Amino acid sequence: MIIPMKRVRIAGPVSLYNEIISVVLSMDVFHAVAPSTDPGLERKSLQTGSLDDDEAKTLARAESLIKDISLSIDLLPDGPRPLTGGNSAFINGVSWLEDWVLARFEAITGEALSISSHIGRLQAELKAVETYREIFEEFSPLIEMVSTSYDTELIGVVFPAEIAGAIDSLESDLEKVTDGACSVFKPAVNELGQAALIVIPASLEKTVMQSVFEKKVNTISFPEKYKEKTFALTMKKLYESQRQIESELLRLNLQAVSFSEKWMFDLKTAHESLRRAIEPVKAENYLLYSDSVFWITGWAPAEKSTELVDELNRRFDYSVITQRSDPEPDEYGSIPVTLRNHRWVRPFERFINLYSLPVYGTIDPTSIVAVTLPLFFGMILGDIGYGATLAVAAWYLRRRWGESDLVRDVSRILFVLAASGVVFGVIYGELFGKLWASAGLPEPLFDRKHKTTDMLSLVIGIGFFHVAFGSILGAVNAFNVRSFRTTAARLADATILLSIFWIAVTTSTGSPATLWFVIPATAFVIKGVTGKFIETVMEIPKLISNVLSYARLMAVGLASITLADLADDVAFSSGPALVCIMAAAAVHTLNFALGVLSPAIQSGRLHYVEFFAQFYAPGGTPYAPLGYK
Amino acid sequence: MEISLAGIGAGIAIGLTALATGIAQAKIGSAAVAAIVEKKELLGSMIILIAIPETMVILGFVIAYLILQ
Repeated sequence: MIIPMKRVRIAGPVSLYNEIISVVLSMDVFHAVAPSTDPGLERKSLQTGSLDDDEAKTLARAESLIKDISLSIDLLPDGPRPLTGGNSAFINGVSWLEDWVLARFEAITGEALSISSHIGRLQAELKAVETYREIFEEFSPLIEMVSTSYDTELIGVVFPAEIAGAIDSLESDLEKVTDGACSVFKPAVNELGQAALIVIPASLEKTVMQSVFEKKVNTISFPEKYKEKTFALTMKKLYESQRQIESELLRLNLQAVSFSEKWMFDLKTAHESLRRAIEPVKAENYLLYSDSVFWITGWAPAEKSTELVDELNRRFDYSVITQRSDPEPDEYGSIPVTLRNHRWVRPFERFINLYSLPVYGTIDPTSIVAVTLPLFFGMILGDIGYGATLAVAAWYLRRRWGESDLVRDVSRILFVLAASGVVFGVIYGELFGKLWASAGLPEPLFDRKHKTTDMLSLVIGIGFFHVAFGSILGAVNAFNVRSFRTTAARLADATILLSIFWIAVTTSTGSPATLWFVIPATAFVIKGVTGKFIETVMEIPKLISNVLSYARLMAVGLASITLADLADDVAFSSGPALVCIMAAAAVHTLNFALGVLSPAIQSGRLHYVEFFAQFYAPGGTPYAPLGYK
Repeated sequence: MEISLAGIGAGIAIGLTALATGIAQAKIGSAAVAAIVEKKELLGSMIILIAIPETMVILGFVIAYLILQ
């Protein structure tokens, strides 16, 4: 659900501004908005508290510095000794937004980032040297010879490991274009793939390079710093630089540790202090004031707004005037939105955030999605084996990277999806394809592989209900903002869909449905009257196409079953057992990857496009309270 | 003969719609990636835009299925 918000207006004497704003910031609940958006503060004679150019520049500078400090803290190594007061004498009691303080920390972070970037560059160079070291050592006499010769040239190329054999094709091509005047030296395949050194007469370099490019082969490239006139000279120089790079790297790492010991405490202090220092400045942007009084307006969650007002009254003994009010429907578009759902449902908020937050006053579909998304996923995947494999993958993900909120949420979602896949696997009687039947287990409750027509009817029926449900939610949303025409149109959509579904069911059972047509016809007329006729005519085929789109729940599942069956047929074919099992495992792995990715995308799409189109109002403003957290 | 024609019809129904979907998604997809690089908030809208042409191939599948039934 979307947390209900209250409009909060705070007014007080200018002389108490700093103290009052400090209490507001310490509560971390007040989302300030521009006074111009509050109809209750339309007082033309008052001044707005927008920052002047210098203040705006200082704020931007401080925000940029906070980012740099944060980056420096992440990049610098932790020193062997615990952090103490460091060099902090100079920061005691400073005003954090003063020019000299910002300049001092800009210099410190500049040095920290410079050391880190230098280390990164040297590590890349060292890696390049180590990567080609084996090649160099194996062919050092050749490289030495070519580097001192004016008539010959050396070209280094590398093929990815999976097409390492293509080197032979390139070799025969080069034989032809150079009339046999080239030699290709091939070191052993390593992590790079298959590298090769091509020795050619210098006069043929362009011709050979042309052939190399035509084959779309990568030439070996080195850091710019080591670039020499020829490939051989570059390689030689790079190799000779290795010791120099290593000793430079060691020196810089020691410098980074010592720098960290000296400044880490101050950087962490500055990071926290600057964050606290800029919040009151940001708050000034939202002020409205006269010579003696200031106002600030914004939003706070209903329950927290009481705490905020009580705290201000307690601290300032009613010399602060506060006002709380419920939002009006025409303000909904500008009210900040924050979601609150049950902890089992909360991970699915990410699915909603990926699209866009809903506008305030509309329905938060997280709880609905938490049920229907796994339902659709399970209907498509529907295999005990694949579901169990996905559950294991979710468990591993959580165990391996569980400290990240994102990974924790994703693994929870995956686990629910996996459980749904297993449940539908039991219903369909599918275990890695045909293994259920091969193992002699009981007849499945619903054999989707053979009852394709029933499956198609079922998923289209689900489509009718899901889209109609979306239309009903759309009616509720419209009713909440007192848009009665849209409410009627959405209800008419739902009526049309459900009655068409009912007519289809009764007709298929042989009952005449003539009279039933009156219901969708009436709904169509109501929709036409409440909206524009042409739009109404256009929307009906769109609704039907939305419903038919649910056929993908059957179609994608059918493709997955066919691949799984193919894998089982390969496994039980008459070839060598090991080969058959390996081939079957490969096809099952491919099918598992497709079988997880495709249902996730298709289920997501059915929600984003078909379901949300009926009611969802995207574009909610994220709730971002002023404060120190 | 009739079965062969039905098979060809079903093939055309699914084949042409798949081709059309592929062409549309390729164009929308490349533009969407460029737009997302510029503005990450567009991700949700872009997913929808990329997904819209898929309906064609699903409708093609339904038609093919009905022909073969």
